[in-house]
Amino acid sequence: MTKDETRRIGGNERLRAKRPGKGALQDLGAYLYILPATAVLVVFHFFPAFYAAYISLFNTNLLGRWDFVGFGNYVEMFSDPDFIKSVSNTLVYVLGTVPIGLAIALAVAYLLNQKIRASGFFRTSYFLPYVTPVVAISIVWMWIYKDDSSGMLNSIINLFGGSSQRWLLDPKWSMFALVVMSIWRHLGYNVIIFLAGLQNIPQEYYDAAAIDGASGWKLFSNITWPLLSPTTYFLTIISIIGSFQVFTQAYVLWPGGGGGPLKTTLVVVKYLYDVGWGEFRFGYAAAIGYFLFFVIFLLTLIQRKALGNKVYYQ
Amino acid sequence: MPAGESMRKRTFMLVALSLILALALGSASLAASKVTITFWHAMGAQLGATLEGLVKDFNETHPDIVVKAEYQGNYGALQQKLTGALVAQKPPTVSQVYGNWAAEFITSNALVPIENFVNGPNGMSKLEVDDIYEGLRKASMINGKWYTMPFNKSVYVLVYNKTALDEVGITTPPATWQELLTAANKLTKRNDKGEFIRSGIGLRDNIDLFACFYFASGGEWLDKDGKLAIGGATGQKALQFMVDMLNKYKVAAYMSGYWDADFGAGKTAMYMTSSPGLSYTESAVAGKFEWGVAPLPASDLKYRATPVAGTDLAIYSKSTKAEQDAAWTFVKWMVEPTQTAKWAIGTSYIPVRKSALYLGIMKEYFAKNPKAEQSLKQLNYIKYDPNLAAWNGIRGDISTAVQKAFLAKATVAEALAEAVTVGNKKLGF
Repeated sequence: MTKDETRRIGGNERLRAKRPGKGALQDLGAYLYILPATAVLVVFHFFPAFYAAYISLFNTNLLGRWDFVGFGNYVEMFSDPDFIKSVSNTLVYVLGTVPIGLAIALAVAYLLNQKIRASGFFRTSYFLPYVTPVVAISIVWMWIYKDDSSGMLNSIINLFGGSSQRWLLDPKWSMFALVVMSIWRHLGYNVIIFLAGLQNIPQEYYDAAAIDGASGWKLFSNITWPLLSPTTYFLTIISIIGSFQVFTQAYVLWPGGGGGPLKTTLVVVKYLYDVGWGEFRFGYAAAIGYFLFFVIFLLTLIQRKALGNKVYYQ
Repeated sequence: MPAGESMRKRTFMLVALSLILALALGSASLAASKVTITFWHAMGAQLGATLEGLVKDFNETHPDIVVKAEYQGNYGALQQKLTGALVAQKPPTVSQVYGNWAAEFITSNALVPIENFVNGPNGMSKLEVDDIYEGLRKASMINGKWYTMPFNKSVYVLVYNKTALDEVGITTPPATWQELLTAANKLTKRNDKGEFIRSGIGLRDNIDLFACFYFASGGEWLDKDGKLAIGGATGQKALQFMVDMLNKYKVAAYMSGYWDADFGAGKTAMYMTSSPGLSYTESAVAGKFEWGVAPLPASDLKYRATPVAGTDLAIYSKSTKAEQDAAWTFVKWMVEPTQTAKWAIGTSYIPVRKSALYLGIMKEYFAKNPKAEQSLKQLNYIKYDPNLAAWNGIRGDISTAVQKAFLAKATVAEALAEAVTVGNKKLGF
């Protein structure tokens, strides 16, 4: 209950001078309520984030080695060929997954939003991959991508007369394999959010437009797309952030370490993990983490500026 | 509430309280004579069960020590928890460690060198020390000091489809590269499109498989100055042999994952794996054909060698003197011939003591499982990765060189030269 409400209940219209003791006590109550959540955030999110910033200034294994290097780690990144490769791989991954992934998700959501039979079944099926552990999914996809004719993908291609490809071993295909699997995995989540967005658009708009003679693509481009823009905007940001942080799939699909054939699927977080836990260079790993943070932060700002004012809120 | 009932309740509470107190005191005085140590490990499933069994035996035969074995998840989880615990100054008393972890842990003096205990009052005799395979002991040295006790170690072996070998008239598994190539050639089967029905040998595009060939042609990772030595004639010869089997003779296939399933399905006739992987082979083959295990083939018999992998036991310096001594008693007991033999039998790891091979239980085991004996034939020829933090990154670079050569993106010499340049930079040259 806010103070305003208290006053209203008391029926006293006159603004009372705030009694210092009582006000503080009321605030204390509020602070107590948010304390548990804040404590968790501070201990497990804020402190590690600031601590990571601190250790990113050191050449450290967190144990006996603590050599202060200032921004040396940040400078080193730009002359580290593996890091640069990981950044370009990640950019390819983001560009590959986000636009195509969202387009497919929108199409599927649009179809599921129609009055079709067993739509509940389809909605569940599309969501299943998202709630299945990535490790389990990756192992299934290793079989799909198997490089001889026993692989599912290859046997389908062979059926149509194509020749088998080495999806996971050929540097030409490895990133493609990673992207396809990721799109498939995130499809369900994107579809559900799009579906919620679609169902938020009032039917009256469509009815009115239909009376005016609009149909098909016109309905979509003039009503659905603009009114769905808050959802699209949200999903774009969330997907880009998520894609920049891709790790588990790449880690499981190529168990040999190193990051796929010729490091073609060495993504930033995989590289961060490798230098951190593989080589005990935690300072450098933290710096890479911060680099990633700034990239994502900047991109989100740019998106806000560029797209934010094109978003139509009802 | 009537007064009588309240009284009775109070009496009952008093009796209960005093009982609890007595119990607490009793167990406290009992605990005072015992030292409890914690042992963190990463051995799940069958391996974990064997380990728990050994720990139980230890606790039963050592009434003054309680070892609490705590499973921490896989090696990655163990490494993360150990590092976190060391930063928080709360490490366990004993744990499994990889050599490159130990090399980092000692920067804050977190480990007590095992040689302090070996040379201490409850130490090991020269005879006992020499009984531990020299290669394993050397792999546990950091900066010339013996820091950790070899524990769960595995070596690479050649797995072959005996039924298929018999069919093509090969009676003994290949021991040299020449024999390997001949066998692979005879074992390869293709369809009319030229695709493999069965490849002669299955390779992997990473450093571990390269090590199997490089070590077995006389190679060592580092030269006497500590620089990468793979770029020379030996390294080129090893990688070229692998590439030739793939691209010139076309008798080999490769993947980045594990071969056991494909071997079991008859898609490759031979492959190389570390010894604990043999349990997967067993379940993949599932009696469909006869298979066998042999030491890794070498370019020349005088170069016989195998990479060794796996962890050691380390004792942490944060614990009290009494705990450290108890931990040493435990570590020493774990690598006694009987225990290391039981461990090897339960897990397919290798026994770390030579004399374990002469024990009755080991002979019995070999009689039933002749395959297991093959990996042990190699124990006098083991080679290992250097205990350097930078090594993990260099592993990736060498794997990339292998992939480049496999994909014919570079010649063997170019691919290795690049790995040497990048790797030496990581080594600080």
